[in-house]
Amino acid sequence: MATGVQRASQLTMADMKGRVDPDWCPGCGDFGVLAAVQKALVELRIPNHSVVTISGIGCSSNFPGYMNTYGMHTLHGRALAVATGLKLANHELTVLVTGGDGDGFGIGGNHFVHSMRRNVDLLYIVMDNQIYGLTTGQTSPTSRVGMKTKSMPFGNIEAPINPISLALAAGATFVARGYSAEQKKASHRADQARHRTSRLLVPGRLQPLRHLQSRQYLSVVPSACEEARGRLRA
Amino acid sequence: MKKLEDDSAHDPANWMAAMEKSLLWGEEIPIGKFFERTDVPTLHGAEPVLNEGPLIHRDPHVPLDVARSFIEELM
Repeated sequence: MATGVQRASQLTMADMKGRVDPDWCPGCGDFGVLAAVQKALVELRIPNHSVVTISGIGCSSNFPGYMNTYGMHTLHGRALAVATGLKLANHELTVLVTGGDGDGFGIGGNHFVHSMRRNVDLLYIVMDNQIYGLTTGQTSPTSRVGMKTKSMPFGNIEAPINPISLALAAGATFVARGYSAEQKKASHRADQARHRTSRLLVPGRLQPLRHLQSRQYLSVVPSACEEARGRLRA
Repeated sequence: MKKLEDDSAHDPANWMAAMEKSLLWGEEIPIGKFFERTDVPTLHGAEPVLNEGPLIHRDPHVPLDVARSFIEELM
Protein backbone atom coordinates (compact mmCIF):
# COMPACT_ATOMS: atom_id res chain seq x y z
CA MET A 1 0.00 0.00 0.00
CA ALA A 2 1.24 3.44 -0.83
CA THR A 3 0.99 6.27 1.63
CA GLY A 4 0.65 9.99 1.34
CA VAL A 5 -0.72 12.08 -1.48
CA GLN A 6 0.11 10.67 -4.90
CA ARG A 7 0.44 12.67 -8.07
CA ALA A 8 -2.53 11.84 -10.28
CA SER A 9 -0.31 11.02 -13.25
CA GLN A 10 1.71 8.55 -11.19
CA LEU A 11 -1.16 6.60 -9.66
CA THR A 12 -0.96 2.83 -9.70
CA MET A 13 -3.26 0.07 -8.48
CA ALA A 14 -1.05 -0.25 -5.39
CA ASP A 15 -1.81 3.36 -4.49
CA MET A 16 -5.52 2.55 -4.32
CA LYS A 17 -5.20 -0.43 -1.99
CA GLY A 18 -6.16 0.04 1.64
CA ARG A 19 -4.19 -0.98 4.70
CA VAL A 20 -6.03 -4.25 5.25
CA ASP A 21 -6.81 -7.08 2.89
CA PRO A 22 -10.44 -8.04 2.20
CA ASP A 23 -11.91 -10.73 4.43
CA TRP A 24 -14.48 -11.78 1.84
CA CYS A 25 -15.00 -15.48 1.18
CA PRO A 26 -12.69 -17.02 -1.42
CA GLY A 27 -14.24 -16.63 -4.86
CA CYS A 28 -16.62 -13.85 -3.82
CA GLY A 29 -17.55 -11.44 -6.60
CA ASP A 30 -16.71 -8.48 -4.38
CA PHE A 31 -13.01 -8.95 -5.19
CA GLY A 32 -13.73 -8.28 -8.84
CA VAL A 33 -15.67 -5.12 -8.06
CA LEU A 34 -12.93 -3.80 -5.77
CA ALA A 35 -10.30 -4.33 -8.45
CA ALA A 36 -12.52 -2.77 -11.12
CA VAL A 37 -13.14 0.36 -9.07
CA GLN A 38 -9.45 0.76 -8.21
CA LYS A 39 -8.55 0.31 -11.85
CA ALA A 40 -11.11 2.89 -12.98
CA LEU A 41 -9.77 5.47 -10.52
CA VAL A 42 -6.21 4.88 -11.71
CA GLU A 43 -7.20 5.12 -15.37
CA LEU A 44 -9.17 8.29 -14.75
CA ARG A 45 -6.22 9.64 -12.74
CA ILE A 46 -8.38 10.67 -9.84
CA PRO A 47 -6.04 11.25 -6.88
CA ASN A 48 -6.79 9.40 -3.64
CA HIS A 49 -7.23 12.55 -1.59
CA SER A 50 -10.14 13.73 -3.74
CA VAL A 51 -12.13 10.50 -3.35
CA VAL A 52 -14.47 9.46 -0.54
CA THR A 53 -15.83 5.92 -0.37
CA ILE A 54 -19.00 5.57 1.71
CA SER A 55 -20.86 2.42 2.70
CA GLY A 56 -23.56 1.05 4.96
CA ILE A 57 -23.47 -2.40 6.56
CA GLY A 58 -22.78 -5.78 5.02
CA CYS A 59 -19.97 -7.75 3.39
CA SER A 60 -19.73 -5.35 0.46
CA SER A 61 -19.97 -2.40 2.83
CA ASN A 62 -16.50 -3.23 4.12
CA PHE A 63 -15.36 -1.75 0.82
CA PRO A 64 -14.05 1.62 2.17
CA GLY A 65 -11.58 -0.22 4.41
CA TYR A 66 -9.97 -1.81 1.39
CA MET A 67 -9.53 1.46 -0.47
CA ASN A 68 -6.77 4.02 0.08
CA THR A 69 -9.19 6.94 -0.07
CA TYR A 70 -11.13 8.87 2.52
CA GLY A 71 -14.01 6.75 3.69
CA MET A 72 -16.99 6.40 5.98
CA HIS A 73 -18.54 3.13 7.15
CA THR A 74 -21.97 4.37 8.14
CA LEU A 75 -25.24 2.93 9.45
CA HIS A 76 -27.18 0.12 7.80
CA GLY A 77 -28.93 1.47 4.70
CA ARG A 78 -27.84 5.07 5.30
CA ALA A 79 -24.81 5.34 3.04
CA LEU A 80 -26.64 7.37 0.39
CA ALA A 81 -28.00 9.80 2.96
CA VAL A 82 -24.52 10.43 4.35
CA ALA A 83 -23.09 10.66 0.84
CA THR A 84 -25.67 13.26 -0.14
CA GLY A 85 -24.75 15.42 2.83
CA LEU A 86 -21.07 15.03 2.09
CA LYS A 87 -21.53 15.97 -1.56
CA LEU A 88 -23.43 19.11 -0.60
CA ALA A 89 -20.75 20.07 1.93
CA ASN A 90 -17.94 19.65 -0.60
CA HIS A 91 -19.06 19.00 -4.15
CA GLU A 92 -15.48 19.02 -5.42
CA LEU A 93 -14.97 15.51 -4.02
CA THR A 94 -15.54 12.33 -6.01
CA VAL A 95 -18.06 10.34 -3.98
CA LEU A 96 -18.34 6.57 -4.32
CA VAL A 97 -21.04 4.66 -2.47
CA THR A 98 -20.90 0.89 -2.10
CA GLY A 99 -23.20 -1.69 -0.58
CA GLY A 100 -25.27 -4.77 -1.12
CA ASP A 101 -28.84 -5.54 -2.10
CA GLY A 102 -30.06 -5.83 1.48
CA ASP A 103 -28.42 -2.61 2.57
CA GLY A 104 -29.41 -0.64 -0.51
CA PHE A 105 -32.82 -1.98 -1.47
CA GLY A 106 -34.11 -3.20 1.91
CA ILE A 107 -32.97 -1.06 4.81
CA GLY A 108 -31.97 1.82 2.54
CA GLY A 109 -34.73 1.53 -0.05
CA ASN A 110 -36.11 4.97 0.71
CA HIS A 111 -32.72 6.65 0.28
CA PHE A 112 -32.18 4.74 -2.95
CA VAL A 113 -35.30 6.16 -4.59
CA HIS A 114 -34.75 9.72 -3.43
CA SER A 115 -31.09 9.77 -4.38
CA MET A 116 -32.13 8.85 -7.91
CA ARG A 117 -34.73 11.57 -8.29
CA ARG A 118 -32.42 14.21 -6.78
CA ASN A 119 -29.63 13.35 -9.20
CA VAL A 120 -26.96 13.51 -6.54
CA ASP A 121 -23.55 13.55 -8.21
CA LEU A 122 -22.19 10.27 -6.95
CA LEU A 123 -21.45 6.74 -8.08
CA TYR A 124 -23.52 4.07 -6.35
CA ILE A 125 -22.25 0.52 -6.76
CA VAL A 126 -24.58 -2.22 -5.52
CA MET A 127 -23.07 -5.67 -5.14
CA ASP A 128 -26.28 -7.59 -5.64
CA ASN A 129 -25.94 -11.26 -4.68
CA GLN A 130 -29.64 -11.72 -3.89
CA ILE A 131 -29.08 -12.58 -0.25
CA TYR A 132 -27.95 -11.25 3.12
CA GLY A 133 -24.46 -12.76 3.03
CA LEU A 134 -22.81 -11.28 6.14
CA THR A 135 -25.43 -12.84 8.36
CA THR A 136 -24.88 -16.16 6.57
CA GLY A 137 -27.84 -16.27 4.24
CA GLN A 138 -31.28 -14.74 4.72
CA THR A 139 -33.79 -13.70 2.05
CA SER A 140 -33.10 -10.23 0.65
CA PRO A 141 -35.25 -7.85 -1.44
CA THR A 142 -33.76 -9.29 -4.64
CA SER A 143 -34.00 -13.00 -3.72
CA ARG A 144 -35.91 -14.91 -6.38
CA VAL A 145 -39.24 -16.58 -5.63
CA GLY A 146 -38.66 -20.12 -4.43
CA MET A 147 -35.07 -19.48 -3.35
CA LYS A 148 -34.36 -21.41 -0.15
CA THR A 149 -32.59 -19.46 2.56
CA LYS A 150 -32.10 -19.72 6.30
CA SER A 151 -35.01 -17.36 6.88
CA MET A 152 -37.22 -19.08 4.30
CA PRO A 153 -36.15 -22.73 4.29
CA PHE A 154 -39.19 -23.79 2.24
CA GLY A 155 -38.54 -21.18 -0.42
CA ASN A 156 -39.07 -17.43 -0.78
CA ILE A 157 -42.72 -16.49 -1.28
CA GLU A 158 -42.08 -12.78 -1.86
CA ALA A 159 -41.63 -11.23 -5.30
CA PRO A 160 -38.23 -9.56 -5.70
CA ILE A 161 -37.80 -5.95 -6.67
CA ASN A 162 -36.07 -5.08 -9.92
CA PRO A 163 -33.31 -2.54 -9.08
CA ILE A 164 -32.75 -1.49 -12.69
CA SER A 165 -36.45 -0.79 -13.29
CA LEU A 166 -36.73 0.96 -9.94
CA ALA A 167 -33.75 3.19 -10.68
CA LEU A 168 -35.14 4.11 -14.08
CA ALA A 169 -38.59 4.85 -12.69
CA ALA A 170 -37.11 6.99 -9.93
CA GLY A 171 -35.25 9.15 -12.41
CA ALA A 172 -31.66 7.87 -12.38
CA THR A 173 -29.57 9.46 -15.12
CA PHE A 174 -27.06 6.64 -15.59
CA VAL A 175 -28.03 3.01 -15.10
CA ALA A 176 -25.78 0.05 -15.85
CA ARG A 177 -25.30 -3.56 -14.81
CA GLY A 178 -21.92 -5.21 -14.66
CA TYR A 179 -20.69 -8.68 -13.96
CA SER A 180 -18.09 -9.10 -11.26
CA ALA A 181 -16.24 -11.84 -13.14
CA GLU A 182 -15.61 -9.33 -15.91
CA GLN A 183 -13.39 -6.75 -14.24
CA LYS A 184 -12.43 -5.01 -17.44
CA LYS A 185 -16.03 -4.34 -18.40
CA ALA A 186 -17.03 -3.40 -14.88
CA SER A 187 -14.14 -0.98 -14.67
CA HIS A 188 -15.13 0.50 -18.01
CA ARG A 189 -18.66 1.05 -16.74
CA ALA A 190 -17.42 2.73 -13.59
CA ASP A 191 -15.27 4.86 -15.86
CA GLN A 192 -18.26 5.73 -18.04
CA ALA A 193 -20.39 6.64 -15.08
CA ARG A 194 -17.75 8.85 -13.54
CA HIS A 195 -16.27 10.33 -16.67
CA ARG A 196 -19.21 10.97 -18.94
CA THR A 197 -22.00 11.85 -16.61
CA SER A 198 -20.73 12.02 -13.05
CA ARG A 199 -24.17 10.95 -12.02
CA LEU A 200 -25.77 7.91 -10.52
CA LEU A 201 -24.66 4.48 -11.47
CA VAL A 202 -26.90 1.67 -10.30
CA PRO A 203 -25.56 -1.67 -11.27
CA GLY A 204 -27.78 -4.53 -10.28
CA ARG A 205 -24.73 -6.69 -10.51
CA LEU A 206 -24.62 -10.41 -11.08
CA GLN A 207 -22.34 -11.90 -8.56
CA PRO A 208 -21.11 -15.45 -8.29
CA LEU A 209 -21.79 -16.75 -4.81
CA ARG A 210 -19.59 -19.71 -4.17
CA HIS A 211 -19.82 -20.01 -0.47
CA LEU A 212 -23.34 -19.54 0.76
CA GLN A 213 -26.02 -19.97 -1.82
CA SER A 214 -24.38 -21.26 -4.94
CA ARG A 215 -27.00 -23.92 -5.55
CA GLN A 216 -29.84 -21.46 -5.30
CA TYR A 217 -27.95 -19.05 -7.48
CA LEU A 218 -27.30 -21.79 -9.99
CA SER A 219 -30.99 -22.52 -10.20
CA VAL A 220 -31.72 -18.89 -10.98
CA VAL A 221 -29.04 -17.94 -13.46
CA PRO A 222 -27.11 -21.06 -14.41
CA SER A 223 -25.33 -19.50 -17.36
CA ALA A 224 -24.01 -16.62 -15.30
CA CYS A 225 -22.90 -18.85 -12.48
CA GLU A 226 -21.28 -21.41 -14.72
CA GLU A 227 -19.38 -18.72 -16.53
CA ALA A 228 -18.23 -17.24 -13.26
CA ARG A 229 -17.11 -20.60 -11.92
CA GLY A 230 -15.17 -21.26 -15.09
CA ARG A 231 -13.40 -17.94 -14.88
CA LEU A 232 -12.61 -18.36 -11.22
CA ARG A 233 -11.16 -21.83 -11.82
CA ALA A 234 -9.01 -20.38 -14.59
CA MET B 1 -25.66 -12.95 -20.47
CA LYS B 2 -25.92 -10.52 -23.33
CA LYS B 3 -23.95 -7.33 -23.57
CA LEU B 4 -26.03 -4.31 -24.45
CA GLU B 5 -23.05 -2.85 -26.28
CA ASP B 6 -23.33 -5.73 -28.75
CA ASP B 7 -26.96 -4.91 -29.46
CA SER B 8 -26.82 -2.23 -32.15
CA ALA B 9 -30.55 -1.65 -31.79
CA HIS B 10 -30.25 -0.60 -28.15
CA ASP B 11 -30.15 3.16 -27.67
CA PRO B 12 -29.14 4.16 -24.09
CA ALA B 13 -30.92 7.47 -24.58
CA ASN B 14 -34.26 5.66 -24.98
CA TRP B 15 -35.83 5.38 -21.54
CA MET B 16 -38.63 3.05 -22.67
CA ALA B 17 -36.16 0.70 -24.32
CA ALA B 18 -34.06 0.69 -21.16
CA MET B 19 -37.12 -0.18 -19.09
CA GLU B 20 -37.96 -3.06 -21.41
CA LYS B 21 -34.40 -4.38 -21.20
CA SER B 22 -34.51 -4.11 -17.42
CA LEU B 23 -37.33 -6.66 -17.31
CA LEU B 24 -35.24 -9.37 -18.94
CA TRP B 25 -34.01 -12.01 -16.51
CA GLY B 26 -33.79 -15.63 -17.51
CA GLU B 27 -32.48 -17.02 -20.76
CA GLU B 28 -31.18 -13.56 -21.50
CA ILE B 29 -29.70 -11.30 -18.84
CA PRO B 30 -28.53 -7.99 -20.25
CA ILE B 31 -25.38 -6.37 -18.86
CA GLY B 32 -23.94 -3.00 -19.79
CA LYS B 33 -25.32 0.48 -20.01
CA PHE B 34 -29.12 0.54 -19.94
CA PHE B 35 -29.70 4.25 -19.87
CA GLU B 36 -27.96 7.60 -19.77
CA ARG B 37 -29.04 11.20 -19.98
CA THR B 38 -26.90 14.25 -19.38
CA ASP B 39 -29.42 17.09 -19.50
CA VAL B 40 -30.52 16.91 -15.86
CA PRO B 41 -28.77 19.25 -13.42
CA THR B 42 -27.11 17.67 -10.42
CA LEU B 43 -28.43 18.43 -6.97
CA HIS B 44 -25.47 20.63 -6.10
CA GLY B 45 -25.58 22.26 -9.55
CA ALA B 46 -29.20 23.23 -9.03
CA GLU B 47 -28.59 24.76 -5.60
CA PRO B 48 -27.69 28.46 -6.05
CA VAL B 49 -26.20 28.68 -2.57
CA LEU B 50 -23.36 26.47 -3.80
CA ASN B 51 -22.53 28.66 -6.80
CA GLU B 52 -19.84 30.44 -4.79
CA GLY B 53 -18.07 27.16 -4.10
CA PRO B 54 -18.19 24.31 -1.60
CA LEU B 55 -19.65 25.03 1.82
CA ILE B 56 -16.64 23.44 3.45
CA HIS B 57 -14.41 26.32 2.34
CA ARG B 58 -16.60 29.01 3.84
CA ASP B 59 -16.64 30.60 7.26
CA PRO B 60 -19.37 28.75 9.17
CA HIS B 61 -19.59 31.52 11.79
CA VAL B 62 -23.12 32.80 12.38
CA PRO B 63 -23.19 36.35 13.81
CA LEU B 64 -24.68 36.53 17.30
CA ASP B 65 -27.47 38.91 16.31
CA VAL B 66 -28.52 36.58 13.48
CA ALA B 67 -28.54 33.60 15.83
CA ARG B 68 -30.63 35.57 18.34
CA SER B 69 -33.11 36.58 15.66
CA PHE B 70 -33.62 32.92 14.77
CA ILE B 71 -34.17 32.00 18.43
CA GLU B 72 -36.62 34.83 18.97
CA GLU B 73 -38.56 33.87 15.86
CA LEU B 74 -38.83 30.25 16.89
CA MET B 75 -39.47 30.62 20.61
